[in-house]
Amino acid sequence: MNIPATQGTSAHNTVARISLPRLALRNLLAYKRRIAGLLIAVILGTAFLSGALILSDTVQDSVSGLIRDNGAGTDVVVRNATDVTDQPGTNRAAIPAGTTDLVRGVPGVANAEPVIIGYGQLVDKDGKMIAGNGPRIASNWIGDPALNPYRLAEGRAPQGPEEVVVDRASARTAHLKPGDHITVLTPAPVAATIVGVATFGDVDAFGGSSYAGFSLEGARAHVARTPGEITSVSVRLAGDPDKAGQRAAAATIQKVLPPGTQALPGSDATQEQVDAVADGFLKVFRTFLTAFAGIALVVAAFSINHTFSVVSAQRTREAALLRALGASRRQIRTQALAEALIIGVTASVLGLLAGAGLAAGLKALFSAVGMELPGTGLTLRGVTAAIVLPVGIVVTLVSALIPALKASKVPPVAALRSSAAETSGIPARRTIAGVALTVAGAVLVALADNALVLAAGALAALAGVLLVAPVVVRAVGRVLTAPFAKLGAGPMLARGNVLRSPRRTAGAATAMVVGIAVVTVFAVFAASLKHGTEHETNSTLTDGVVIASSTGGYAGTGHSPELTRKTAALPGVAEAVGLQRGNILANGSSVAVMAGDTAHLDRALDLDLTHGTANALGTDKIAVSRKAADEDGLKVGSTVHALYPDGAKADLTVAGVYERNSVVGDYLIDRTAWAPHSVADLDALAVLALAPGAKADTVKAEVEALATAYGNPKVYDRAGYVDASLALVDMFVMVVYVLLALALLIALGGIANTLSLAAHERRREIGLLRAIGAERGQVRASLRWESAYVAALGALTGVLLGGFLAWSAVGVLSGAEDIPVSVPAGQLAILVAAGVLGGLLAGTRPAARAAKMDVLSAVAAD
Amino acid sequence: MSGTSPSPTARSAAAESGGRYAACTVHAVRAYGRGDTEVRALDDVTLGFPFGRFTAVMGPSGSGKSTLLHCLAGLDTLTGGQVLLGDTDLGTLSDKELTRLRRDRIGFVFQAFNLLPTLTAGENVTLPASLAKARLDPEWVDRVIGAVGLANRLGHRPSELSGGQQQRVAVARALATRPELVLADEPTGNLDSRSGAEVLGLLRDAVDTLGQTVVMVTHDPVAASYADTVVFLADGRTADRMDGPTPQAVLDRMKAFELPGKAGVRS
Repeated sequence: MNIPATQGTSAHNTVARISLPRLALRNLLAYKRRIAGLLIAVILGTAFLSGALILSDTVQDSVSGLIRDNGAGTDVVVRNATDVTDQPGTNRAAIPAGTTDLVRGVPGVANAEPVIIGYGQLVDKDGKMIAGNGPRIASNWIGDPALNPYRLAEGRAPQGPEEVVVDRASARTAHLKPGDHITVLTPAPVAATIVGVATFGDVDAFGGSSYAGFSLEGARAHVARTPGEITSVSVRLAGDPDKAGQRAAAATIQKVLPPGTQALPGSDATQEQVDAVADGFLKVFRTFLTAFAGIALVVAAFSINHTFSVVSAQRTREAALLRALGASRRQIRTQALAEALIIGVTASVLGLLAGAGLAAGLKALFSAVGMELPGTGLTLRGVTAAIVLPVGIVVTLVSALIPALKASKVPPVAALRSSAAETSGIPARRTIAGVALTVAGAVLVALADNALVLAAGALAALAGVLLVAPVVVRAVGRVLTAPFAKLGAGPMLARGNVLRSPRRTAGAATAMVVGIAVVTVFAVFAASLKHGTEHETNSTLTDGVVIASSTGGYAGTGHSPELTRKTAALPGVAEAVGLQRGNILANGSSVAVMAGDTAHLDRALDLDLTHGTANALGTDKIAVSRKAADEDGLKVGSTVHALYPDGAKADLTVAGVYERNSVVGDYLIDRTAWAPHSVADLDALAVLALAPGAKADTVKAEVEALATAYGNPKVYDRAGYVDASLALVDMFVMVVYVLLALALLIALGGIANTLSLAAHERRREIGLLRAIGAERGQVRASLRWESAYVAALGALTGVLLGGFLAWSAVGVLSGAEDIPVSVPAGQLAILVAAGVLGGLLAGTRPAARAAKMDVLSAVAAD
Repeated sequence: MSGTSPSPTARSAAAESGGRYAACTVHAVRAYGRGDTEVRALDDVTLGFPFGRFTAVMGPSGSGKSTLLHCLAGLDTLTGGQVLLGDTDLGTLSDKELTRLRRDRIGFVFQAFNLLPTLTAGENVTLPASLAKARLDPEWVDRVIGAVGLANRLGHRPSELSGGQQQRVAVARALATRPELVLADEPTGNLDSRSGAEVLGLLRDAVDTLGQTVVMVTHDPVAASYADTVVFLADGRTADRMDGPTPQAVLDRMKAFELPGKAGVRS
């Protein structure tokens, strides 16, 4: 190390002086490899955070933009006043068609158009449903362009009742053009001719939705539940009123409206939808991404922290030399922190930018696994930079602080000793604190009954384990790695290096522990959930046949109840239970209900009733799951005050409480109770019980034959339905694994980085080895084994810790449902194997570099 | 390398040596740099190291003695001439073959930092055999360990041993594979005189009772006096040799090098 003079010789002007900031900068440049490692660790962490924020902003912007376009020209909306759900994509109940004329009579109204919105699944020429991942909308084509977000791109507006305009996305998917004949399931099949193709504003479709626009006459006949009803009235006012103008007009219109109907300013209606999307889907999405960004950042922080501490050990003698030359502790600290600041700022800025690339990549990833996100381009808000930059810089500085303090404590005399940079001492108070934290955390986790206690316990246990780790490495590492030492010189040497500094070994494995623990928690949780659902669905469906249009992706689809009725008549079917989805207010809160043919429900579905019955619920009874019963304090005989979407009220008596809710949900009512009030008459699924002696295969084929006339909804046997219903879970699991893989990459990068530093430190040892006859391959092997040891140590600790946390988490988070813990042993084995293999790979480059080292210069190095 | 056929020149050089030498250099040249800046660390050195003898190499700093030792060990390569170990010409060997030669046929004792800190004394002794995946002759190893007096220290780590003990472990390691040639680079340079004497006694014993061939580089006339023969190098050339050295005779000879104009050029 060539240390330029910091004092003394300054009497000569010809001798350049170096300032501490410049020393910091020169240090950074001198250790390019180490800097690259530190930079990468910080960049990965911040890029993930930045990517998550950019992606959710982008999606929010494009979704909000689409909604705003949708409602742009509508000044006032007249609709049903009853609100049972805030979920986007659901419609309110109908209002009388005559409302339009009442509104048209109000002064200041330039135009008022009736709007009929309903379900309209497009079926192509071959009888296949045109799949989308959003609402299947059928509506009336509105002639007034101010009130219609759709624009004709081809052809003309519909005139006859069997003419439709379709959205361009559907047209492209199914190669449709004006003049083609298609079927629209509303849900009864309507044979229609395409006369036009429309865009939603400038884009092909509104998100993943499909659109079929009939003439008003056609929509009345096919889409409206009764011809005398419409969904809403869109109003354009004279002039171009501002918000206040809209509000005043809405108030005026309200006066002429029948009871149960409301007039809402257009801007408020739009905002309502934007908020619903932001609070619902986007909030989940953002939380989800931010959580993973947080995990990545924590892993990166451990990695950065460890790298800084290794680097500081490496430079102990340099710091000591500076101290001997008269540098103060503060100057040593300042120098280390200045380095950290340079790295933190540079890497955070790079990370912020890399996040944009990551956001684009993630978007492509989501769409590749079937979760198409709307919108093009990326939104980089100032607030993203305001979050990412300080977080990245502060994490780097904090990570650098402890090693910097340590470096400043180096006694000047250390410069005169050629002591090994790696110390093996472990302070007793560290171990004691670690044991105390681990025990406290474990007790909290084991006894936790809510997520907050669980999280606190998990954090304490994690911190405790990390503190205790060095002692454990020292105590059991020797025994555990003993068998490997017999495998050859490489493993033997690696073992020695792993055990020589338990603190460093534990430090190098930390990021791996955290990463693997998180993956394990998730894997166990997902497996338990999946296994529980699978088991429950299997038990619920007595061996039968299920018709379900959509099991994964957008749920608001279904088939005509007519199909369910027809299948009931098949000789092989003993009982057909059609189930419709809906929303009501139950005792004032919005809940999702299933409405089904409950007359002989138990013939088709085994709900595992704990009390009462779910059969023959009629118009005045309801059955609830035990979960709902526990949460709402309901029991058999209790009364549920129900408010239906159309504003009708009913008191329902709880007739039964059941355990299994994976198929029928938490609230079950009868079809007859629901039918008068429903928004769309659509069976989400139908469960068919087989007649004695009937074969599932035969019945399935018969049902499929019937279903051709109804757009070919999918027909499953029991096993097929169970598999299909888990497809969505599988998709989420996959996305999460990909995200977590990034965290593991950061951990592996940290291992590679510290290994490369360690190899540099051990130049003389490696030189000695080579001098007494170690082949390059053996030097490589020893470093690769070391990396694999560290990775294996981290992975195994992570799996154990994660397994324990998951065991408790499944119990706490599944609430009243008592999901049995299911350990995906195969997946976890793969996870550990991937960690170890990753460790081997991470060691490859540092090992290759160490093996190339020139023997003579390594032996001569000091 | 036993499997490598020696080149014709090597064969003739070995024949010339009459098979009396464990190793020899023939017109060995090791030059650093080029043109005007060329420095010859070894300048036409022809030396033989007879079997079963203890040879010390002496000379002022920069005389080329360390370079000679590194070239004999196959750690450094000549720019001219030959180094022969038995009848193997080191210049014809690849990096891998040189590595195996060091492992199987040479034992090396360094001045300092001789042992791997992560291995026990016993593991350090058997390390070359572990690297070769070869079995050691247990009787021989017992003899060597007995000779260096380490039988009850085998489980200790280098950090738990004194400097002299560490160096004795290093000597045991160099002898454990029963190499054709033991090379020692100032093995007593970091030791006090008593520990130094122990280590030198060990090397002497290795020659006398175990029949080993030892070449040692040293600055110390007392250390040199343990050898059968002392070879003096100056400015990369063989300057003199002395059989049956005594410390005083060596010291007197060394003083002659310190006359003006005779100082070394390299360090």
